[in-house]
Amino acid sequence: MGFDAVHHNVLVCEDDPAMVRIFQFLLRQQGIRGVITTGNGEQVAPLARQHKPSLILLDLMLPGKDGLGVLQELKANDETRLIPVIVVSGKESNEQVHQAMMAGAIDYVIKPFEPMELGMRIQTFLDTLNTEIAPDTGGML
Amino acid sequence: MGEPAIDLSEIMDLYKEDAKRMIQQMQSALIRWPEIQQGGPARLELRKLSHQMRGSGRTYGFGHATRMCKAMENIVQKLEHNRLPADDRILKSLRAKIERLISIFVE
Repeated sequence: MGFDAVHHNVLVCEDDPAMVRIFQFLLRQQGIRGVITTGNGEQVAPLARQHKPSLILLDLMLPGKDGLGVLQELKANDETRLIPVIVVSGKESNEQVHQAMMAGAIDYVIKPFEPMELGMRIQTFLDTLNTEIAPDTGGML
Repeated sequence: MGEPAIDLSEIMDLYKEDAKRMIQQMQSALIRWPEIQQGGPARLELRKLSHQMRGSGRTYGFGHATRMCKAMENIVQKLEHNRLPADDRILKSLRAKIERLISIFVE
């Protein structure tokens, strides 16, 4: 691992315990120990402001507030707008993908997914983060 | 897709327990068939459960469960949009799909 993953945390927004478990498993495999979870859309923005996660994994069908609304809320707030969001959703229409990407998601993974696929996408993101915080860039994001 | 390329055995037993619980909830919803016919909470519950298991099934290596749940979710969506009649044929179809899920996870 190229950087100290243990200092990063990830906010998982998902109301299905089986999916939460697989996200935690995949993140643990990447060396990330700090995983915050919520299954309620209304709690996402407050948790994001509180914990300043390195990454948010966001389902679109959440009780409380739907994921697209959550994404728009995150992007409208100065404290959370730069936090990268990967949408992981069972909604598979091109329109849904387009809406999420236009709202500011950096990636969109359709459920069901191959665990290796999501693991690689998370790894790619972490590699990018690693490059961006490398010492020769002054440690700036 | 066959077996997942990442070894999920560490969390597989928990998933199977989740799946059994969800199937019980599906059965409980289906027993309330009049609620499903009339668009009540049982219909919403059945749609949510089938949507969730559609998303998780193949991810955990249970592609057949995802196919069954996708079919169930489609049926419930069509009921919601009045594109299918909520008759005995639909009830039998949903019941048969839940039986298939039981054969995957319980038997």
